Amino acid sequence: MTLPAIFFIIILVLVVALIWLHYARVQAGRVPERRPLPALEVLRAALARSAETGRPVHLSPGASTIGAGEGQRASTAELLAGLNIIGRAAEQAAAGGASIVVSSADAVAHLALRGVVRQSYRSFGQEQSFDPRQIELWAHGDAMAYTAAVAAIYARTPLEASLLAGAFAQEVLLTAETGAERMVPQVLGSTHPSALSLMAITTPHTLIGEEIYAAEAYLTPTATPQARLLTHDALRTVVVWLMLIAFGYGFFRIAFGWPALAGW
Amino acid sequence: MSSPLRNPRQLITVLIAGVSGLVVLLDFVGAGPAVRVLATVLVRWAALITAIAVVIGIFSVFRSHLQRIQMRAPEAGYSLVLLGGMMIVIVAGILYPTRTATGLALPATLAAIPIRTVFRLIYEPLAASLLALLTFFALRAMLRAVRSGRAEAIFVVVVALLALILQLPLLAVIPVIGQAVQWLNDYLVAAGARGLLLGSAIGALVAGIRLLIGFDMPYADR
Repeated sequence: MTLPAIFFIIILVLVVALIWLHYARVQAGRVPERRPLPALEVLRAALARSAETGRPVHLSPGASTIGAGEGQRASTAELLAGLNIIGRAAEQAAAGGASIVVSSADAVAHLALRGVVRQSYRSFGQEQSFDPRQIELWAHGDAMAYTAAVAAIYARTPLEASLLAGAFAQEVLLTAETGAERMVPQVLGSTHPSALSLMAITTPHTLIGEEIYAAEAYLTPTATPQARLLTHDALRTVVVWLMLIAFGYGFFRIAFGWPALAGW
Repeated sequence: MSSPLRNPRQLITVLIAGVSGLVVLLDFVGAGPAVRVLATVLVRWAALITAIAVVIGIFSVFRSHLQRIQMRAPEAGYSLVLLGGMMIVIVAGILYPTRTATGLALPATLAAIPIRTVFRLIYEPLAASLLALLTFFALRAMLRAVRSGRAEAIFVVVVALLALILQLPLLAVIPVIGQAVQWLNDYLVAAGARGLLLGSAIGALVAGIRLLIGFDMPYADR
């Protein structure tokens, strides 16, 4: 087995241990305070209003696809984050009687969404309220076509709100600006810098970068997402400390004649 | 979430997903020839399952739009256009015979002339038009952002305008401006982008590992 493989296994074991540790910590009731994400309060409020107005809330994991195609950036992780958010939003919809429309831009994501949303309705004993026609495939592997489809839905269907959290690039502007023009409350999230700047000017409710991975923990008090968030924070702290240590080492190494680190 | 340990069916599902993911990951970091063989098989199976999922998706789309046409829904016309376009692409890509050295043959790849012609004449102009529209959408979004008075939106617009102006050839050749822009790109912009990427990468790492160990089971029926 090669050195990178051994290193990878060690990191994997450490991360798994962290996840279990934080899961036990959350189960014991030790959940620290965290900063609010106002965008998700907008989503919660929209789901609550939807039960009264009858207008659906549109949910989407973005133009995320499983794996990377030729010339495309892989967006499986963003798709997983979107699935988690939609699962929790669907739970709230099932509990409150809200109406939702779920769309996707990938055939595999479409099937995963059907399972996730059905599970959400089942977990609240509302499986009879689940309608598979709520989940629609609007495009496959074509982000531009997908955002055009979302923009068309904004024009045709009165929506209570729209959540698009996942992999987006510049084409999100087509959807976001149409939604802003029609005054559809939009919660937009992406990890792509070019999409984020466009989202920032079209809606005040954005999930920036890693916030799409944290969002699930804000939508439900259950232990599993809280543990994920704590693990994420811990790993980020470790990475920041490593960078600071490396910076300090680089700062002093010339003065003290220390050897350069590998890769410098 | 119910524990997979209490549900044998769920446990088997988690084990299959976890072991498969681990094998492919180990192959990615170079764990040896035996792992590579197994990973190649798994990746091929995944490609096959994805292809089947696309076929299922096609049938799902076809059925839902056909229902709209049959029920004469308000936007049935759009559904008709969509189904027509779908049939044109399927026929051009799979069933339209092409002339070869040995006679007529069905298209073997997506690089065959009939499907390339459909994409060149229909899809590419449509995509180009939509992309061209983004310029006007961006302008309108900027005007709306400035009118809204939101601080972060105005900040993004101001920075975008500055970036555009500073890249004008007349200004970019001025040494101080050129160097300042280069410094901003090399340090501030790169730092921000890397910070964003780091956070997203850690989120992706945790999400992936949680799938491996069965904390998240989007594939299971629980």
